[in-house]
Amino acid sequence: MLANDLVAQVPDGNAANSKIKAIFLYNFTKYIEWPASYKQGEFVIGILGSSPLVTELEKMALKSKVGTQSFVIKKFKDVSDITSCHMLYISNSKTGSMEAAINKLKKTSTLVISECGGCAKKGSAINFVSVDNKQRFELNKTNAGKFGLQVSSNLATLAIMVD
Amino acid sequence: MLLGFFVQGYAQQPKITEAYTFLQKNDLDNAVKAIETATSSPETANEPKAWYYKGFIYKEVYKRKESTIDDSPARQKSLDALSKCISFDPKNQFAEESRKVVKYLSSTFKNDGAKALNNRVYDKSIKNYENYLQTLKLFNPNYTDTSAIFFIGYAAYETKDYNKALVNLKKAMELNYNDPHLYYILSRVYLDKKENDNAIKVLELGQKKYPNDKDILTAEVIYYKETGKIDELEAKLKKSIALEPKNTELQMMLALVYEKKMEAAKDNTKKGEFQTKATDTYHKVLGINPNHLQANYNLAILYYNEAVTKIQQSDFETDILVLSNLQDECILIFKKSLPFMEKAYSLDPKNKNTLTGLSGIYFSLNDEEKSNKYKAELDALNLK
Repeated sequence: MLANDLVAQVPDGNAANSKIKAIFLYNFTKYIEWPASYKQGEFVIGILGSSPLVTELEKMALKSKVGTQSFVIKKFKDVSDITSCHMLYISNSKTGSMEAAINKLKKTSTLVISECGGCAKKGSAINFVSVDNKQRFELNKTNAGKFGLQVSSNLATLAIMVD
Repeated sequence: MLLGFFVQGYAQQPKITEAYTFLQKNDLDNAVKAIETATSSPETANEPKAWYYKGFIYKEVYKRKESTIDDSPARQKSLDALSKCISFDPKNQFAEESRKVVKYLSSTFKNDGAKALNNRVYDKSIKNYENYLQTLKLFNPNYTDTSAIFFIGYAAYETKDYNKALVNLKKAMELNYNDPHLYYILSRVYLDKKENDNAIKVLELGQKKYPNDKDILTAEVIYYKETGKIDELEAKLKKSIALEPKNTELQMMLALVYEKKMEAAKDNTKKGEFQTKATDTYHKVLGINPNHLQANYNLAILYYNEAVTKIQQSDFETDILVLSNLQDECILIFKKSLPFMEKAYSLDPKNKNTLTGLSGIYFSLNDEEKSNKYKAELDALNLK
């Protein structure tokens, strides 16, 4: 058959979804205020558990900065591996470790981001959800405040508020 | 029996008469013995009739006992004897009748050649067609059969004996063999030999001779596809489609040409133009055959890819409001893709590409449950 070799390649839908999340994460750096001590050195994003988001964040780290701060992406297998970071993204597979992670990060200014139903009410400041096929995020300003983070009202208008 | 006419006038030659008598009684073994004696006897060894009878008797042996045997010895003995008869017979007493038997035997080679070709036993086919052409010369030195020459060329192409293929196909062309396949096969030989210029020259010759022939156009389409001459391919496809508007394979090829042009286009306006052309062409295919698996699949992928590309090409610094609009736009495109991929799935539920596509589209629509369902089906297939 003439057209037998015309099978088109399937694009990577995972990468597209991760790209959207990465863009969100970049935007969070604009709409959330970290304490002055966090505005120097590298801007560290930690990922707890495996996630396709890592690849997109690594691409972002090559191209973008937060002011003068370069991005550094750190991968943590377990809570015990977590070190100081500006953002901690808790992958879906590590939702069960969220409470322990938050406890470990007490007294730091870390934006805790999750991706599970109800997590914004269980400690994370930002929680990714899907609404009508669209990626959106829940915002818990109180949880952000517990880590010394100030959230812009502009971000609040775009979020699904849970507190 | 025809042979009787000749025997009556030469009854004084006992062994020949004996051979004839045995033949009439269907005693082929004794007929062979008698005629072998006659043709080796000094008295009759130079008699054309002895050789004619030998040829006739061995032809009967071939017909009755060896017609299914490759390289039948009786057929060859018959031909050798008849050949001698023709060369010994200046008065043309037996030569004419000998030629008739030769003609019959040559046709058996031709039939064997055709049968072997149909069964794709190409070496055997070549051998039989060559024997056929050789025996034809015995029948009439000035006559040849161009179809046999073409078939030898074709079979040689199949065995990758490109030199033999070229010699015979070119000869068939010189002798005006009237079949567009000749041009198609000859172009394939040149393509295999990486002589692309010769390949297209032959196809152009073929197209001049057969301007509306679908096979020649198809061959040109394949040529341009394999050599990556995308503009020429597009032109040929349009011409072919004008001749065969319902040919979905040609339409599929044209859609792919537009996709290739879309990928190569440097600005988004051009990309958009080719995408629209590709989309329209796939829709045409589905208008002809809504159950065309590949058209459904490719159209779904085209939309899916459009949305994914829009997302992937966005800057990481894209403002969150712009991102929201982008998501809305892409959701609509993903949803356009979905019914075509679902149709492809309904047509072939075990197709891994389709399952990958469905899982990916639902994932992009943030419908994890459905995405996982199709991923599980794909994983199950991969385990088999």
